[in-house]
Amino acid sequence: MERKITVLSNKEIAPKIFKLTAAAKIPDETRCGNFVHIQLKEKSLRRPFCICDFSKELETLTIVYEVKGEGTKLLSAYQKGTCLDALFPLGNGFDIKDAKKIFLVGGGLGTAVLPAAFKSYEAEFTSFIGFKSKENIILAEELSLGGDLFVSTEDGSFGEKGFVTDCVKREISLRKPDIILACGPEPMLKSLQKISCQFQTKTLVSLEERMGCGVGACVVCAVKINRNGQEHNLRVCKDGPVFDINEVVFN
Amino acid sequence: MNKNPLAVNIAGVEFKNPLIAASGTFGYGLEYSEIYDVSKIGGISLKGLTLLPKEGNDSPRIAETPSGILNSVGLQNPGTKAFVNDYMPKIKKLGTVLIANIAGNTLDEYAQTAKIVSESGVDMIELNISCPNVKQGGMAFGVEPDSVRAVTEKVKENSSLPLIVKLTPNVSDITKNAAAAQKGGADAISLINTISGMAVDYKTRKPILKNVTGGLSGPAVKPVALKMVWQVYNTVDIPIIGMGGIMSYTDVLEFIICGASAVQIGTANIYNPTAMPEILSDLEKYFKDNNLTLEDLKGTLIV
Repeated sequence: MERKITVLSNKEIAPKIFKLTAAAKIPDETRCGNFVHIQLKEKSLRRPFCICDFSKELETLTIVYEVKGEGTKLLSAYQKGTCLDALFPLGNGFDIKDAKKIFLVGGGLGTAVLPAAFKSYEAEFTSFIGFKSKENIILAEELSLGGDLFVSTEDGSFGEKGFVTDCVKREISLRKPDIILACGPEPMLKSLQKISCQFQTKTLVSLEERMGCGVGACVVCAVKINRNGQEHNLRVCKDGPVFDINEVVFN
Repeated sequence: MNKNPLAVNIAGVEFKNPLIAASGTFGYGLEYSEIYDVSKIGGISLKGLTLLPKEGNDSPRIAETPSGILNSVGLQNPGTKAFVNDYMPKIKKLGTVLIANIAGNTLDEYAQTAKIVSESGVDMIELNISCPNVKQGGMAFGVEPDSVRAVTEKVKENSSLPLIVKLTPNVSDITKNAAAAQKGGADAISLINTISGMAVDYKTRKPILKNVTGGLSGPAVKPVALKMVWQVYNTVDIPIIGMGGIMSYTDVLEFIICGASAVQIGTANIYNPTAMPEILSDLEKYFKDNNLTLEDLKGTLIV
C-alpha cells in the first residue's frame, strides 16, 4: 500500500468541483474503482475519494471532488508541492472478468470513477454521463478519448435532454454491452437496476458511505447488501466500494 | 540487562509490551495484519462479540467532531459461532495476546457467550458492559454498581479465562463501578469506553449519525480518561488498562503515570493504520534513552 502523494495541480473544473493531480507511485494492482484515503493536514479523520485516473509510467494519480464540507474546502486550497498522507489503492475495484464491450455510466460526480477504466481494461468502451446543466459537465474530454461518448443534461442545455439512463436504455439493445460499470446518485442507480434486469446485463456499481479506517477494520461504512438471500451490512471500503447492482438494497 | 523493559504481566498473561489495540478499531486482527506484522503489538482486544450475529445500526455510523469522532456502529459482529469456526483458525497464529470482548443483552447471554469464548483459544476476556440490559428497561449493565458486580460474577462463573471488565464513563461515580467489578471477581479493569455524544448538521437540522447518538473517542476524551484511570487506580488493587485518546508515546506515559499497567489504542488506528508500531517504536526509544521500566513509572503521579 502506498502512503504519499504530492500535489501537482488542483483546479476548479466546474462549480464547486475540483480536479487534483498528484505525483504518486502507482502499485501494479491499482484499477478502476479503487479509492484513495487522504489525511488533510488540519484534520485527523481521512477523506476517501475514488481514483479518477492514474498513470503508472508518469507516476500520477488524479481525484475529482466536490467542495462540500470543511475537509474538502481545506483540500481545495492545497497548492503544488503539498505532500499528503494518502492510503491507496483501497477497495475492490471493478472486476470485469472477460468483458470486451463495456458501458461506462456516470451521474454527476459519479462520473469521476470512470476515466480510470481505460487504463485498467482492454475493451471497447461507450461512455454515458449525465448532469443537471451544461456548467456541471466534467471529464467529457477525457472520456471521449476512450470511445463513444453520450452526454445528457436534465435541462437540455447541452447534449441530450433528460437523464443519462434514458440514453443507456436506448443504446443498450443496439450495442449489447457485456457489462455496465456505473456510479451516481441513488435515483440513477435505481433506474439502472431496472435496465440491468430488463436487458439481462451484468451491472457493477461503486457506492460510498461515511468512512473510518478505510481498510475494513472498524466496520463504520456499512451498506445493506442482499447476498445469499439475506440482507447483510457489508463494508463499502473493503467488501466494496463496487457491488453487483442486483445485490444493492435501495432505500 | 536482557529483560524487556516494556514487558508486563496482567492477570497471569504475559504481554511483550503494554500496547493493546482497542476493541472495535482493529476487527479480529486480519485487516491490519495485511498492513504490518501485528505480532509487534502487545495484544488485540477483538471486535465485540454477541452470542448471535448482529447487523448493527444503519449508516451513517461515524461523525467527525473537534479532536475526535463519534461512532454508532452498534456492535455489528458475526456472532460466537462464526468467531470460533471462521475467525479463530485464522487469527490464533497472529503472535500476540488475543482478548475476546463480549457483550450481551441479558445475564444469560453473557454467560453463554463467556462459555463459548473461553474454549475458543483466546487468552483473556474483556467484558463490554455498555450494552442495554433489555430485561431491566434497557439501562446499560455498566451503569449501576450492583449490575456491574452481577455481570462480572456471572461471566467468572462461566469462564476459566482471566477477565478484564471494561467500564463506561457515562456514570456518576466510576470508582463505585470499579470496586463492584473487583468485588465480582474481575482480574483487571479497562477504561474508558466511549462518552455518549451527538453531532448535528445545522443546514439540514438533522443529526449526522443515523442512530442520533453515538460514542465519542479520540483526543477530546483523554482528560476524562486520565482522571478516571487515576481515580480507579486509587480504588482497586487489580491491574488497570487505560484508554481514551492515546495518539502518541507521551499519551501512553501519561496513562502509566496515572496507574495503568497497559493501555489500549483505538481511534489512532482509524486516523493512521500504522499508529501502533510507530507509538511502540517511540516508546521503546524513550524507555531506552531514559533507562526506565514500566514499573518505574506506573502510578507515580505526584499529587
